[in-house]
Amino acid sequence: MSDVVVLSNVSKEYPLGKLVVPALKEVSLSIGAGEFVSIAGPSGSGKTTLLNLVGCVDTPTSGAVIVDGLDTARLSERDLTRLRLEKLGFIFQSFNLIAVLDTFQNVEFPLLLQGKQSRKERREVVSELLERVGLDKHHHHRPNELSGGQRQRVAIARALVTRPRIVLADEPTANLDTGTGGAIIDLMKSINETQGTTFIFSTHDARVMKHADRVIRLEDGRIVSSGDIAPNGAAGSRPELSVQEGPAPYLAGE
Amino acid sequence: MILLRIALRNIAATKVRTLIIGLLITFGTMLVVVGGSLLSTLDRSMARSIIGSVSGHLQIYDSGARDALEFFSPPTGTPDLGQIADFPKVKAMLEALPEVDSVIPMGSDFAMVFSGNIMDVKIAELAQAIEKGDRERAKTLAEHVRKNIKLLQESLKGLDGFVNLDFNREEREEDLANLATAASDAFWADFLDAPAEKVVFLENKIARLAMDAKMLFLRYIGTDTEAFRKNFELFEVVKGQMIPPGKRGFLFSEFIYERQVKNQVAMRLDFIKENLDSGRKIKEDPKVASRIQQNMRQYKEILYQMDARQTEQLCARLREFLSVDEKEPEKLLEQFLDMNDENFSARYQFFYDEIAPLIVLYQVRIGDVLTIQSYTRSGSATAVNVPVYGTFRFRGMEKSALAGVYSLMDMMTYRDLYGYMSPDRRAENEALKAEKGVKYIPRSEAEDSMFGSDEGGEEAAPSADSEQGPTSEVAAPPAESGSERPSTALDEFADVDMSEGGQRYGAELLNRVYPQSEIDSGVVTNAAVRLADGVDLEVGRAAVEKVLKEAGLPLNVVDWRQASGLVGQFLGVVWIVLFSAILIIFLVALVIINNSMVMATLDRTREIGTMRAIGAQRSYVLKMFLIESTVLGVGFGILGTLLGSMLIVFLGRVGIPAVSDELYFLFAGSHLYPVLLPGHLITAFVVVFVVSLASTLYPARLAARIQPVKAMGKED
Repeated sequence: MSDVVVLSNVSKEYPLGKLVVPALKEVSLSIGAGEFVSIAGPSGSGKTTLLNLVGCVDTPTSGAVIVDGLDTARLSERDLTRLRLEKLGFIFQSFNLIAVLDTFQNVEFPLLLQGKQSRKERREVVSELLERVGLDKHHHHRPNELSGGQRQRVAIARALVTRPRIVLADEPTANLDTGTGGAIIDLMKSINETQGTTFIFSTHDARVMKHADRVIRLEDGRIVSSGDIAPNGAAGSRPELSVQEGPAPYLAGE
Repeated sequence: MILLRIALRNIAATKVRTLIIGLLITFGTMLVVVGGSLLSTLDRSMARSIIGSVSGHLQIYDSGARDALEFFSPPTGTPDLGQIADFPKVKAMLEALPEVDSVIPMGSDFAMVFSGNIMDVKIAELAQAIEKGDRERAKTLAEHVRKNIKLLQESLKGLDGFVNLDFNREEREEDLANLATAASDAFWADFLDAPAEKVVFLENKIARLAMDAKMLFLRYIGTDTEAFRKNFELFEVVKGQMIPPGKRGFLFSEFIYERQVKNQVAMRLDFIKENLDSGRKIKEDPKVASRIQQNMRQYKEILYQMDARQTEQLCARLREFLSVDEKEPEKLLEQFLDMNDENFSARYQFFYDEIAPLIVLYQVRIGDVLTIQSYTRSGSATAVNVPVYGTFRFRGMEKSALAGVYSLMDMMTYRDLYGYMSPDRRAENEALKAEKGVKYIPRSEAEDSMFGSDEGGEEAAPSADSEQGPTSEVAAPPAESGSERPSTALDEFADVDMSEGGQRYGAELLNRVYPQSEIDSGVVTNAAVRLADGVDLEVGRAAVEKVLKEAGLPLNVVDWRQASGLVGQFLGVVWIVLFSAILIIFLVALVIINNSMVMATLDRTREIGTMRAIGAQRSYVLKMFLIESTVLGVGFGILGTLLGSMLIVFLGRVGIPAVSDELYFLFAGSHLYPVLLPGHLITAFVVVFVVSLASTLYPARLAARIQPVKAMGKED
């Protein structure tokens, strides 16, 4: 299985006044295609920073971030934007829908940025996806007319509409109640299974983590455990394993 | 497409901001369209007024002139415009240009004219009746003159109580003595049997004491009258006739003639009628009502002019008309003049049907020979006789005081008044010298030298075929008015160089037809240049300047705006005001749009970050903002343009009424009909476009710099 994301010795520091705050320290990591990976850890452990680096919206202070075989440090801002558009999908904690656009238009938006497809093709793709996320009756609702769970499903549809290699989700369920959150993770998981899209999401919710193939644990900017790479297709069989806290006892077993 | 949608949604989402910006832009574009159209139309109408009346497209005059040429500035004396050297050459040179249609020589000046008083008129009529042997008429007239002398005597005596002017006491006492003589029974007893000397006495000693003579202050243009008529298309003769080509002559401005030369009572009635016609009421308008009051006090002005028979006749008619029994003529007339809204039009009609024929309606009549007194360039007083052929006006500007400010006279008369030695004048002087020797007669002795002791001199004056003294005109009046009235104003000024030559000057010259060469070859201070049809003003001006420069002629070339003086510059000032207003409005719009867009950028940081994270390039964000403000600007710009256009089209239909005399001139008529010009629509559009782009550049750049990271993390 090829790795879609490789991080080697990645450090990230943020200036805070006269101090320099390290957010990530010498992190190395690789994620294979089709993985459903959770990044776990307490607040301030560097989860979001890690996702931002993988999502090409931030650059590392040192080390290399390789996304789909491309070294992001060597790409221009323009190319990075292009990379995000073509290869990545984003799901945000606060949904981040464009307020003035309705459901359909929000999902269609990345396709319009790409500008590759005809109106008809776009219509088909978007409708299909909205049906898939269960919003086929909400095409013309504006974000403020939707519930939190519905909004996040629009966001998922938007993230998937370009058929990205990797979908990044930063705390996708944090603003949702438990039931809705579970449903969202189920939806992500089923897409992961049927389409083979790589999902990388951060969370500190144990119930969410248990759906992941692998849990990467961060503490103080370091990986304390990088979890397990699931044997092909068997992800569904071991979710309960990845729920385990601390260094996984199964590491040796695999 | 999606950008447009986002822009529209954003515009709709921020209603208050949109409304404020919308109002500003709508108002700004409306101002551009409405203001621009109004001023352009005004510019055209003014061009029509000024080019079509006195100035022509261009005016040329000596570049060494001490004063600037300004036709419609308030008169501050005769401007020193120098003179155009060798005008015939300049004219030939310019008229050879394809851009130039014609060149009309000119000169403008002002002068005072004393119109004759009623005593003069009546004495003249009396003399005429005696000459014709009409004893009956002469008797009536004699009684009338006698009555007026008594009135004059009373008023002068009354005056004596108030003024005590010691320095001319003797003169005044002599005047009173003369009046006493003229009022005495002895004077009139055998009047009709031996009238000749007595008529002369009345004319010389009595007539000038009557104080109802009016001084007219005339501004006039001396020009090649024929060329003027042909080239100024708005020119038209109203009363009388055009000055025959090549002859000396004077045309009153109809405006001046009606408002200054006319009998005051009639003039006030005209004023009231005009106001009532335009919907005002005597009852409501104090300005109109005051004219009624003035007229009621001025009945004497009418009665004074009528002899006993006429008075009786009029009283009978008035009693019938007013259905009253009143016997006193004064009271009758006062009652008649006490008009109100109900009876005005009937009484106005009655006045012109029954009263006007009995009085001197105009103090200078068409056909009279006018004596114009002026000061020459060298400062000496001069007087010239010129026949009044009629009145004229500029079509469409009948009511404009500015358009009516100038009367018109021929070039030869103008030159005489301006003080240049014309060949005529030189010859005349030579003849005078040969005959009499040059003699300076001071004013105080003028009367004596002319009428008193020096009777012989008078007899010796050539062509003295009239008994009315040397100061009266002898030339046949040009219009067939049939009345042999004496010159109305000469008496006052006969002391200068008109003293003896007046007769010859009038008789000979007033009938002379001057060839074109002579009209052109004398002094010309300035000249109007009419451009050929369709020639652009600046192109024509450049062509004229070039030719003059090549020929080495030091002449100023000014366009009609400059030549018209303050009036022409008025429009320039209005343009500046409009420009400033538009500038300010759009500056404010610019600042407000800029501000609100910066606010929007901050408000929408997360949204923009999201777009950037999802894969929107910076340029996309930039475009999004530019489109938003352009849609806003262009949308409201169209609205403003539309509203402005509708307003202009509406005004173009109904017209903007000229509410004052000044506007009458500026509008070149009673209404201004603004025309929508595509240029202003385009201007409005370009301005709005540029302003909305400029105002968004900064916020758009700000927005484009928002990092995609801003989309991450929790909502604030």
